[in-house]
Amino acid sequence: MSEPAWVPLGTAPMIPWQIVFTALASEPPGAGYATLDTRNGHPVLDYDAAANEGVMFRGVLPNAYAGRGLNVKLIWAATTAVAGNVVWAIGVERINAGGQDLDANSFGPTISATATCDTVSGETTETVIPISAGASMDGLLAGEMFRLQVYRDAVNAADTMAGDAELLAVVITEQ
Amino acid sequence: MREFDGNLANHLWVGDYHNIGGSYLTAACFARADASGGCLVSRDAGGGGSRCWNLGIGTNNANVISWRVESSVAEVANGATNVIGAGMIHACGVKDGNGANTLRVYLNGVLDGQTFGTGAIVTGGANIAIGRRHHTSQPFDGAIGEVAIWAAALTVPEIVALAKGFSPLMIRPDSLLSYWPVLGNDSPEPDYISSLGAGVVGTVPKSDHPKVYRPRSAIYVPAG
Repeated sequence: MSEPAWVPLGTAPMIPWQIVFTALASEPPGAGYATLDTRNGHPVLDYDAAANEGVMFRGVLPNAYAGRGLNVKLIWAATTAVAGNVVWAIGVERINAGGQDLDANSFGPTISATATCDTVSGETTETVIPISAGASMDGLLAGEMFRLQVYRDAVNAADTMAGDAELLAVVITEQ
Repeated sequence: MREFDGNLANHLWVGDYHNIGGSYLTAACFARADASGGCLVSRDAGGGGSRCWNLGIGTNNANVISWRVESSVAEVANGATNVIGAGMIHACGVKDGNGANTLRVYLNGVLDGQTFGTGAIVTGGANIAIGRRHHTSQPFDGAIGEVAIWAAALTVPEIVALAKGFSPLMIRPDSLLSYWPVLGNDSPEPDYISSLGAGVVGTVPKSDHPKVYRPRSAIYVPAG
Protein backbone atom coordinates (compact mmCIF):
# COMPACT_ATOMS: atom_id res chain seq x y z
CA MET A 1 0.00 0.00 0.00
CA SER A 2 1.51 3.31 -1.07
CA GLU A 3 1.96 6.27 1.21
CA PRO A 4 -0.52 9.12 0.78
CA ALA A 5 0.79 12.28 -0.82
CA TRP A 6 1.22 14.82 1.94
CA VAL A 7 0.71 18.47 1.25
CA PRO A 8 1.91 20.96 3.87
CA LEU A 9 -0.89 22.88 5.51
CA GLY A 10 -1.55 26.21 3.86
CA THR A 11 0.10 25.20 0.59
CA ALA A 12 -1.95 24.33 -2.45
CA PRO A 13 -0.81 21.30 -4.44
CA MET A 14 1.25 22.34 -7.46
CA ILE A 15 0.04 21.04 -10.81
CA PRO A 16 2.49 22.11 -13.53
CA TRP A 17 0.92 24.09 -16.32
CA GLN A 18 1.97 26.58 -18.91
CA ILE A 19 0.33 28.88 -21.40
CA VAL A 20 2.06 29.37 -24.73
CA PHE A 21 1.31 32.28 -27.02
CA THR A 22 2.95 32.39 -30.42
CA ALA A 23 3.05 35.48 -32.61
CA LEU A 24 -0.10 34.16 -34.29
CA ALA A 25 -2.02 34.59 -31.04
CA SER A 26 -1.25 38.29 -30.77
CA GLU A 27 -3.82 41.06 -30.88
CA PRO A 28 -2.85 44.56 -31.96
CA PRO A 29 -3.69 47.57 -29.82
CA GLY A 30 -5.34 50.56 -31.48
CA ALA A 31 -2.03 52.19 -32.26
CA GLY A 32 1.65 51.54 -31.86
CA TYR A 33 1.51 47.84 -32.54
CA ALA A 34 4.34 45.47 -33.33
CA THR A 35 4.18 44.31 -36.92
CA LEU A 36 3.62 40.74 -38.01
CA ASP A 37 6.48 39.42 -40.07
CA THR A 38 8.14 36.18 -41.05
CA ARG A 39 11.74 35.09 -40.77
CA ASN A 40 12.55 32.01 -42.79
CA GLY A 41 8.93 30.99 -42.38
CA HIS A 42 8.79 31.65 -38.62
CA PRO A 43 5.97 34.04 -37.72
CA VAL A 44 7.38 36.86 -35.58
CA LEU A 45 6.36 40.24 -34.27
CA ASP A 46 8.69 43.08 -35.20
CA TYR A 47 9.25 45.62 -32.44
CA ASP A 48 10.69 48.89 -33.64
CA ALA A 49 13.85 50.38 -32.16
CA ALA A 50 12.70 53.99 -32.33
CA ALA A 51 9.17 53.95 -30.90
CA ASN A 52 7.34 51.94 -28.29
CA GLU A 53 5.35 49.16 -29.90
CA GLY A 54 3.35 46.36 -28.36
CA VAL A 55 0.75 43.65 -28.70
CA MET A 56 -1.65 41.88 -26.39
CA PHE A 57 -2.32 38.22 -25.73
CA ARG A 58 -5.61 36.95 -24.38
CA GLY A 59 -6.12 33.88 -22.19
CA VAL A 60 -7.65 32.35 -19.11
CA LEU A 61 -5.56 31.56 -16.04
CA PRO A 62 -5.83 27.78 -15.53
CA ASN A 63 -7.90 26.45 -12.67
CA ALA A 64 -4.72 24.72 -11.56
CA TYR A 65 -3.17 28.08 -10.72
CA ALA A 66 -2.14 27.83 -7.08
CA GLY A 67 -1.85 31.48 -6.14
CA ARG A 68 1.85 32.10 -6.66
CA GLY A 69 3.47 34.66 -8.87
CA LEU A 70 3.98 34.10 -12.58
CA ASN A 71 7.02 33.88 -14.80
CA VAL A 72 6.56 35.34 -18.25
CA LYS A 73 9.20 34.09 -20.65
CA LEU A 74 9.76 35.96 -23.88
CA ILE A 75 11.43 34.10 -26.74
CA TRP A 76 12.89 36.64 -29.13
CA ALA A 77 15.67 37.43 -31.55
CA ALA A 78 17.25 40.49 -33.12
CA THR A 79 16.50 41.17 -36.76
CA THR A 80 20.06 42.27 -37.49
CA ALA A 81 21.77 43.31 -34.26
CA VAL A 82 24.46 41.21 -32.60
CA ALA A 83 24.87 43.45 -29.55
CA GLY A 84 22.80 45.74 -27.41
CA ASN A 85 19.94 45.60 -24.95
CA VAL A 86 16.19 45.54 -25.32
CA VAL A 87 13.89 46.81 -22.58
CA TRP A 88 10.85 44.57 -22.53
CA ALA A 89 7.79 45.63 -20.57
CA ILE A 90 4.70 43.65 -19.66
CA GLY A 91 1.45 44.22 -17.84
CA VAL A 92 -1.58 42.12 -16.89
CA GLU A 93 -5.20 43.16 -17.16
CA ARG A 94 -7.63 41.09 -15.12
CA ILE A 95 -10.98 40.60 -16.84
CA ASN A 96 -13.10 39.28 -14.01
CA ALA A 97 -16.85 38.90 -13.99
CA GLY A 98 -18.50 42.06 -12.76
CA GLY A 99 -15.17 43.76 -12.33
CA GLN A 100 -13.65 44.90 -15.58
CA ASP A 101 -15.50 47.16 -18.02
CA LEU A 102 -14.53 46.06 -21.51
CA ASP A 103 -14.94 49.64 -22.71
CA ALA A 104 -11.80 50.64 -20.86
CA ASN A 105 -8.26 49.32 -20.54
CA SER A 106 -7.05 48.68 -17.02
CA PHE A 107 -3.67 47.04 -16.99
CA GLY A 108 -1.81 46.52 -13.75
CA PRO A 109 1.65 47.95 -13.13
CA THR A 110 4.23 47.74 -15.87
CA ILE A 111 7.06 45.35 -15.13
CA SER A 112 10.23 45.68 -17.16
CA ALA A 113 13.35 43.70 -17.84
CA THR A 114 16.46 44.66 -19.75
CA ALA A 115 17.85 41.82 -21.84
CA THR A 116 20.90 41.49 -24.05
CA CYS A 117 20.43 40.09 -27.52
CA ASP A 118 22.31 37.04 -28.77
CA THR A 119 25.59 37.54 -30.59
CA VAL A 120 24.01 35.84 -33.62
CA SER A 121 20.99 37.74 -34.85
CA GLY A 122 19.13 34.62 -35.90
CA GLU A 123 19.52 32.89 -32.56
CA THR A 124 16.91 33.39 -29.90
CA THR A 125 17.18 34.81 -26.43
CA GLU A 126 14.90 33.80 -23.58
CA THR A 127 14.04 36.53 -21.14
CA VAL A 128 12.02 35.68 -18.04
CA ILE A 129 10.09 38.45 -16.35
CA PRO A 130 8.69 37.49 -12.94
CA ILE A 131 5.42 38.93 -11.71
CA SER A 132 4.45 38.76 -8.06
CA ALA A 133 1.04 37.45 -7.10
CA GLY A 134 -1.59 40.02 -6.21
CA ALA A 135 -1.51 43.62 -7.37
CA SER A 136 1.29 43.10 -9.88
CA MET A 137 -1.00 40.60 -11.62
CA ASP A 138 -3.86 43.09 -11.39
CA GLY A 139 -5.39 40.72 -8.83
CA LEU A 140 -5.87 37.96 -11.39
CA LEU A 141 -7.20 34.68 -9.95
CA ALA A 142 -7.53 31.11 -11.19
CA GLY A 143 -10.11 30.64 -13.90
CA GLU A 144 -10.31 34.31 -14.79
CA MET A 145 -9.75 35.84 -18.19
CA PHE A 146 -6.85 38.19 -18.72
CA ARG A 147 -4.86 40.12 -21.27
CA LEU A 148 -1.11 40.34 -21.23
CA GLN A 149 0.49 43.27 -22.98
CA VAL A 150 4.05 42.92 -24.16
CA TYR A 151 5.83 45.94 -25.52
CA ARG A 152 9.31 47.15 -26.21
CA ASP A 153 10.18 50.25 -24.23
CA ALA A 154 12.26 51.48 -27.12
CA VAL A 155 12.48 55.06 -25.90
CA ASN A 156 14.02 53.94 -22.63
CA ALA A 157 17.68 54.96 -22.50
CA ALA A 158 18.59 51.43 -21.47
CA ASP A 159 17.22 50.09 -24.77
CA THR A 160 20.35 50.21 -26.86
CA MET A 161 19.81 47.52 -29.48
CA ALA A 162 19.66 48.77 -33.06
CA GLY A 163 16.98 47.47 -35.37
CA ASP A 164 13.91 45.43 -34.68
CA ALA A 165 13.43 42.86 -31.98
CA GLU A 166 11.44 39.85 -33.16
CA LEU A 167 9.17 38.18 -30.64
CA LEU A 168 8.42 34.55 -31.44
CA ALA A 169 6.51 33.36 -28.38
CA VAL A 170 5.50 34.06 -24.79
CA VAL A 171 5.31 31.30 -22.19
CA ILE A 172 3.59 31.81 -18.84
CA THR A 173 4.26 29.47 -15.95
CA GLU A 174 3.66 29.62 -12.22
CA GLN A 175 6.60 30.33 -9.94
CA MET B 1 -8.82 30.14 -54.12
CA ARG B 2 -11.16 29.77 -57.02
CA GLU B 3 -10.42 29.67 -60.71
CA PHE B 4 -12.20 32.21 -62.92
CA ASP B 5 -12.31 31.61 -66.65
CA GLY B 6 -12.87 35.09 -68.02
CA ASN B 7 -16.55 34.45 -68.59
CA LEU B 8 -19.02 36.95 -67.18
CA ALA B 9 -21.34 34.16 -66.15
CA ASN B 10 -18.84 32.71 -63.72
CA HIS B 11 -18.07 34.75 -60.60
CA LEU B 12 -18.80 35.21 -56.90
CA TRP B 13 -21.61 37.46 -55.77
CA VAL B 14 -22.35 39.16 -52.45
CA GLY B 15 -25.85 40.54 -52.32
CA ASP B 16 -27.21 43.28 -50.08
CA TYR B 17 -23.80 44.48 -48.98
CA HIS B 18 -23.71 47.49 -46.68
CA ASN B 19 -22.62 50.86 -47.98
CA ILE B 20 -18.99 51.90 -47.68
CA GLY B 21 -18.61 55.65 -47.87
CA GLY B 22 -15.96 57.88 -46.42
CA SER B 23 -12.47 58.51 -47.64
CA TYR B 24 -10.61 55.57 -46.19
CA LEU B 25 -10.74 52.14 -47.71
CA THR B 26 -8.49 49.20 -48.43
CA ALA B 27 -9.22 46.19 -50.61
CA ALA B 28 -6.78 43.32 -50.98
CA CYS B 29 -6.50 39.77 -52.25
CA PHE B 30 -4.17 37.16 -53.62
CA ALA B 31 -4.52 36.51 -57.34
CA ARG B 32 -3.01 34.85 -60.34
CA ALA B 33 -3.75 36.79 -63.51
CA ASP B 34 -3.82 34.82 -66.75
CA ALA B 35 -5.13 37.66 -68.92
CA SER B 36 -5.67 41.40 -68.78
CA GLY B 37 -8.88 43.25 -68.18
CA GLY B 38 -10.66 41.70 -65.23
CA CYS B 39 -11.93 42.86 -61.88
CA LEU B 40 -10.74 41.10 -58.76
CA VAL B 41 -13.31 42.63 -56.44
CA SER B 42 -15.73 45.46 -57.07
CA ARG B 43 -18.64 47.33 -55.71
CA ASP B 44 -20.41 48.95 -58.54
CA ALA B 45 -23.95 50.03 -59.29
CA GLY B 46 -23.75 50.85 -62.94
CA GLY B 47 -22.49 53.75 -64.97
CA GLY B 48 -20.50 56.84 -64.11
CA GLY B 49 -21.27 58.31 -60.72
CA SER B 50 -22.09 55.04 -59.06
CA ARG B 51 -19.16 52.78 -59.67
CA CYS B 52 -17.99 53.06 -56.07
CA TRP B 53 -14.70 51.19 -56.29
CA ASN B 54 -13.00 48.28 -57.90
CA LEU B 55 -9.66 46.53 -57.75
CA GLY B 56 -8.65 44.83 -60.95
CA ILE B 57 -5.96 43.77 -63.36
CA GLY B 58 -5.68 45.86 -66.48
CA THR B 59 -9.17 47.28 -66.12
CA ASN B 60 -7.95 50.80 -66.76
CA ASN B 61 -4.40 50.21 -67.91
CA ALA B 62 -3.17 47.05 -69.53
CA ASN B 63 -1.63 44.25 -67.51
CA VAL B 64 -1.12 46.14 -64.23
CA ILE B 65 -3.10 46.42 -61.02
CA SER B 66 -5.79 49.10 -61.24
CA TRP B 67 -7.55 50.64 -58.27
CA ARG B 68 -10.48 52.76 -59.28
CA VAL B 69 -12.40 54.79 -56.73
CA GLU B 70 -15.28 57.04 -57.62
CA SER B 71 -16.11 60.13 -55.59
CA SER B 72 -17.17 63.33 -57.32
CA VAL B 73 -14.99 62.10 -60.15
CA ALA B 74 -13.59 58.70 -61.02
CA GLU B 75 -9.96 58.33 -60.08
CA VAL B 76 -7.67 55.48 -60.91
CA ALA B 77 -4.32 54.48 -59.51
CA ASN B 78 -2.50 52.16 -61.90
CA GLY B 79 0.44 50.01 -61.02
CA ALA B 80 3.60 49.95 -63.08
CA THR B 81 4.37 46.24 -63.13
CA ASN B 82 3.04 43.71 -65.60
CA VAL B 83 1.41 40.99 -63.53
CA ILE B 84 0.04 38.81 -66.33
CA GLY B 85 1.63 35.41 -66.11
CA ALA B 86 3.60 36.48 -63.04
CA GLY B 87 2.21 33.67 -60.89
CA MET B 88 0.68 34.30 -57.50
CA ILE B 89 0.63 37.96 -56.53
CA HIS B 90 -0.82 40.01 -53.72
CA ALA B 91 -2.83 43.01 -54.92
CA CYS B 92 -3.93 45.85 -52.68
CA GLY B 93 -5.69 49.17 -53.27
CA VAL B 94 -5.75 51.90 -50.65
CA LYS B 95 -7.71 55.13 -50.45
CA ASP B 96 -6.05 57.22 -47.76
CA GLY B 97 -8.12 60.39 -47.50
CA ASN B 98 -7.87 63.07 -50.12
CA GLY B 99 -4.98 64.83 -51.79
CA ALA B 100 -1.83 63.97 -53.65
CA ASN B 101 -0.87 60.31 -53.76
CA THR B 102 -3.72 59.20 -51.52
CA LEU B 103 -4.93 56.59 -53.99
CA ARG B 104 -2.35 53.83 -54.05
CA VAL B 105 -1.85 50.34 -55.40
CA TYR B 106 0.55 47.81 -53.94
CA LEU B 107 1.97 44.72 -55.59
CA ASN B 108 3.30 42.10 -53.19
CA GLY B 109 3.46 44.70 -50.43
CA VAL B 110 5.41 47.24 -52.49
CA LEU B 111 3.96 50.53 -53.74
CA ASP B 112 3.40 50.10 -57.48
CA GLY B 113 1.46 53.25 -58.36
CA GLN B 114 -0.38 56.21 -56.87
CA THR B 115 -2.43 59.22 -57.79
CA PHE B 116 -4.53 62.08 -56.48
CA GLY B 117 -7.68 61.22 -54.52
CA THR B 118 -10.71 63.49 -54.18
CA GLY B 119 -13.70 63.38 -51.90
CA ALA B 120 -15.69 60.65 -50.29
CA ILE B 121 -16.40 57.38 -52.03
CA VAL B 122 -19.85 57.36 -53.61
CA THR B 123 -22.33 55.06 -52.01
CA GLY B 124 -25.11 53.21 -53.71
CA GLY B 125 -25.29 49.83 -55.25
CA ALA B 126 -25.95 46.92 -53.03
CA ASN B 127 -23.66 44.17 -54.18
CA ILE B 128 -20.06 43.12 -54.40
CA ALA B 129 -18.70 40.97 -57.18
CA ILE B 130 -15.53 38.90 -57.04
CA GLY B 131 -14.08 37.90 -60.38
CA ARG B 132 -15.76 40.52 -62.51
CA ARG B 133 -17.03 44.07 -62.33
CA HIS B 134 -20.40 44.20 -60.69
CA HIS B 135 -21.91 45.99 -63.65
CA THR B 136 -21.73 43.04 -66.06
CA SER B 137 -18.31 43.66 -67.49
CA GLN B 138 -14.61 42.98 -67.01
CA PRO B 139 -14.63 39.27 -66.17
CA PHE B 140 -11.41 38.04 -64.63
CA ASP B 141 -9.29 35.21 -66.00
CA GLY B 142 -7.19 33.63 -63.26
CA ALA B 143 -7.46 32.74 -59.60
CA ILE B 144 -8.57 34.83 -56.60
CA GLY B 145 -8.51 34.22 -52.86
CA GLU B 146 -8.06 35.85 -49.45
CA VAL B 147 -10.27 38.79 -50.37
CA ALA B 148 -10.68 41.43 -47.68
CA ILE B 149 -12.00 44.96 -47.26
CA TRP B 150 -11.18 47.47 -44.52
CA ALA B 151 -12.83 50.79 -43.75
CA ALA B 152 -9.38 52.22 -43.18
CA ALA B 153 -6.19 52.96 -45.06
CA LEU B 154 -3.77 50.22 -44.12
CA THR B 155 -0.15 51.15 -43.58
CA VAL B 156 2.76 49.76 -45.56
CA PRO B 157 3.86 47.34 -42.80
CA GLU B 158 0.31 45.99 -42.62
CA ILE B 159 0.17 45.49 -46.38
CA VAL B 160 3.56 43.80 -46.31
CA ALA B 161 2.24 41.42 -43.64
CA LEU B 162 -0.75 40.60 -45.83
CA ALA B 163 1.50 39.95 -48.79
CA LYS B 164 3.59 37.61 -46.65
CA GLY B 165 0.47 35.61 -46.00
CA PHE B 166 -0.79 36.78 -42.64
CA SER B 167 -4.54 36.40 -42.45
CA PRO B 168 -6.57 39.60 -42.76
CA LEU B 169 -8.09 38.61 -39.42
CA MET B 170 -4.81 39.67 -37.85
CA ILE B 171 -4.50 42.99 -39.65
CA ARG B 172 -6.39 46.02 -38.24
CA PRO B 173 -9.28 43.79 -37.10
CA ASP B 174 -11.32 46.71 -35.75
CA SER B 175 -11.64 48.12 -39.27
CA LEU B 176 -12.02 44.86 -41.17
CA LEU B 177 -15.40 44.89 -42.90
CA SER B 178 -15.29 41.59 -44.73
CA TYR B 179 -12.93 38.69 -45.23
CA TRP B 180 -13.65 35.94 -47.73
CA PRO B 181 -10.86 33.35 -47.63
CA VAL B 182 -12.38 31.74 -50.77
CA LEU B 183 -11.18 28.27 -49.96
CA GLY B 184 -13.28 26.84 -52.76
CA ASN B 185 -15.29 24.46 -50.62
CA ASP B 186 -18.61 26.19 -50.05
CA SER B 187 -21.20 28.32 -51.72
CA PRO B 188 -21.62 30.89 -50.48
CA GLU B 189 -17.97 31.35 -49.61
CA PRO B 190 -18.16 32.48 -45.98
CA ASP B 191 -17.36 36.00 -44.88
CA TYR B 192 -15.62 35.62 -41.52
CA ILE B 193 -16.59 39.13 -40.44
CA SER B 194 -20.02 40.20 -41.61
CA SER B 195 -21.56 36.85 -42.52
CA LEU B 196 -22.31 38.14 -46.01
CA GLY B 197 -21.23 35.11 -47.98
CA ALA B 198 -20.08 35.24 -51.58
CA GLY B 199 -22.28 32.91 -53.57
CA VAL B 200 -20.88 31.01 -56.53
CA VAL B 201 -22.59 32.01 -59.75
CA GLY B 202 -21.97 29.67 -62.65
CA THR B 203 -18.87 27.52 -62.50
CA VAL B 204 -15.89 28.70 -60.48
CA PRO B 205 -13.82 25.69 -59.45
CA LYS B 206 -11.46 25.40 -56.54
CA SER B 207 -7.75 25.99 -57.14
CA ASP B 208 -4.52 26.03 -55.14
CA HIS B 209 -4.54 28.41 -52.19
CA PRO B 210 -1.58 30.58 -51.15
CA LYS B 211 0.24 29.96 -47.88
CA VAL B 212 -1.65 31.76 -45.13
CA TYR B 213 -0.79 32.22 -41.47
CA ARG B 214 -4.04 31.88 -39.55
CA PRO B 215 -4.48 33.33 -36.07
CA ARG B 216 -3.97 30.87 -33.26
CA SER B 217 -5.28 30.89 -29.73
CA ALA B 218 -3.15 30.25 -26.68
CA ILE B 219 -1.85 26.73 -26.11
CA TYR B 220 -2.50 25.33 -22.65
CA VAL B 221 -0.32 22.54 -21.25
CA PRO B 222 -1.90 20.59 -19.69
CA ALA B 223 -5.42 21.64 -20.64
CA GLY B 224 -7.02 23.20 -17.62
